[in-house]
Amino acid sequence: MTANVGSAEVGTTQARGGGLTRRLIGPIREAHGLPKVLLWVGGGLFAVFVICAIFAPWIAPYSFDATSSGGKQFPKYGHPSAAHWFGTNVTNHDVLSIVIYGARTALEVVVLAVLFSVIVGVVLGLISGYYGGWLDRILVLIMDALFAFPYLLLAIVVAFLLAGKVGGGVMTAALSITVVYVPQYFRVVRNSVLSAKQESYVEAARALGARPRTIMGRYLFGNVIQSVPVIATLNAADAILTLAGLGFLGYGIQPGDAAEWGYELSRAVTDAGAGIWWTGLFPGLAIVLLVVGLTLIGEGLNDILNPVLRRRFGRLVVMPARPRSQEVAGDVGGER
Amino acid sequence: MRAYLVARILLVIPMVWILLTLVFLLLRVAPGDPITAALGGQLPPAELARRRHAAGFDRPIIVQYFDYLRQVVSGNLGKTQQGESVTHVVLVNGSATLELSIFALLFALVVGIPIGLRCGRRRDGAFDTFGRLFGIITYAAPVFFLGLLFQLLFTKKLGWLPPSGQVSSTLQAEISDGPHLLFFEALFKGDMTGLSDVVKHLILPAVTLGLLITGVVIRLVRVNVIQTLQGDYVEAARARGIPERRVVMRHAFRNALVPIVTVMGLQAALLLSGSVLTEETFNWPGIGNRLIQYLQNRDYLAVQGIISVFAIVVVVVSLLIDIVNAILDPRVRY
Repeated sequence: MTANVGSAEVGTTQARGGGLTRRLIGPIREAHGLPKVLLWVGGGLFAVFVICAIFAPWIAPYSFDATSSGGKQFPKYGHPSAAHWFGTNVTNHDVLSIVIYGARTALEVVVLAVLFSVIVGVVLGLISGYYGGWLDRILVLIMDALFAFPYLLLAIVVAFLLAGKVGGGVMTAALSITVVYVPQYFRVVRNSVLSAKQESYVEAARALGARPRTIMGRYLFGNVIQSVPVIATLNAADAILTLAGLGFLGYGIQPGDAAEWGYELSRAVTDAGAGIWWTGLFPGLAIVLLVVGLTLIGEGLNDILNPVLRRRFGRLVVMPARPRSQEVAGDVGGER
Repeated sequence: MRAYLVARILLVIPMVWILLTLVFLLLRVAPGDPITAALGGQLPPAELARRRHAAGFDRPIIVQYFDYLRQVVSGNLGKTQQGESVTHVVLVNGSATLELSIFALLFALVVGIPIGLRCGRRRDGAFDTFGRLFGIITYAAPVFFLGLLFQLLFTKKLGWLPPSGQVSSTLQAEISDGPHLLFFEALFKGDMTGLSDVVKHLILPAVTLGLLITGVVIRLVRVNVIQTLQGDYVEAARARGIPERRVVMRHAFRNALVPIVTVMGLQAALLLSGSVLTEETFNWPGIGNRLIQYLQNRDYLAVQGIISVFAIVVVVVSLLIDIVNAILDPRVRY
């Protein structure tokens, strides 16, 4: 009996593994036209920031917290020049170095935040959808409440509470952002679990005596995980903005710990009054470009993976009419 | 219709209750009692204990919880550290936020709907690509960055518009001493000098916040127009020889609007988040601006009060949206 279940599991796992990769990669390879352009441009922009983040100490002319180099003090509010391409700010720091090191901070926080929210959201969604009952109802209520709440305020409140206990580092920022995005994964995963658990192979697994953990991990997981990559890329873009928003309001990373674009912009608002544009423009552009890159990747993936929007060779894939759309047609016809 | 409305309105109660409970758990239970959290180490222990007792924070947490719910229901949100009534702060500064949001939303709809409509009609055309790019860029640019650029361009470089605030300080008292709905107050008083000053102050913040929503509007209108244009009834309308313009406007656009209303309701949360950032950028005397101040002062009660109001606003907006939807779309009612 046990051996039987074991061998069945191995078989399914292999089939699932291959199928999942093929289902994700296949359409991307086949992509044509606009989606392909979106993916390449987005990927290119993203790659630039990843390179900046990884090799920041080698690329940046100075350290993000340096105020002098070779015994020479940096000027305060120095104009962009040969020594400081993007100028210097109010605390005599080099703006270019801050922008480059900022990529590192942003990516660190966002990778952690997306990872945490995927893990928490997927696990809770699986459990909630599979077991149902009271646990499910309570979790759905809490998640809906979190989802309805203004995302930035949620992040601020969590950052505010954590700052007293954990301190104002990368971890605090990542956790505050995690809270914002968990509900999305939870919803998507829970809904797919609800429909997937009716399938006969899940019933078969249960009949063979597989434990709930096995069923969730091996049979449901592969089915519900497909929609996660698109959400994750779009969330990553959004998380960059949330981090910048937190930093702008003074609840992000503490200034001494790392370079952070949002915090730079909050100081640049004062500078703008004096006509100093370089302290705000460059960190701001960095945010815009990184978010655009991630959004383009997400849009490209969405165009390719979402069958309703998918076109091949410039032709729209026509979906068979659902009974409901006929109803709509009937309604409108009747009204006229 | 009536049964639906009653059921929908009754649903507000558990939603508000859950959100308020969440707020209470987050802001009251997590950090311990607000007085110690805010002032611990600054005052002698005896004084701390006295203040805790006076505010009722030494009672069992469950009693405090019911007190909190009762207070919120009765419209009393407690006092700030300076002894101001939080309800008063919400009314005065909240109306400034309301004014900003109304004009931002108006801007987003006026700009976003025509662009989205045109993008959806000629899918993948040159204009559509432009519309999509515009949507992506306005989404990707943080409101405070856009605000900063506008300030640099229109205030510093061109000198057309004031950099911040809701009204010039010389005119403030003349227009209003109460809630900050200055645009409407100046309008009703017929105070033209005041009105033009208020409008000048309003343009940059409203456009900045509006652009944040415009991207969402374009995207939504576009997708919905594409979807409705694929409907059988659109084909039927075309087959009957109805001009294309009329097909789009009367047949497709009307049906495309229903989901837009729903999703715009969800944007209320985005609008609130965006307004906090916009207010901070333009020093707009709104509720978000005050919230940030209270957070910096670690004034837990004021923060709790304002967040509670945000929670209620979110629920009420979603109720209104559902009602509008039920009027627009007969299927929702059943």
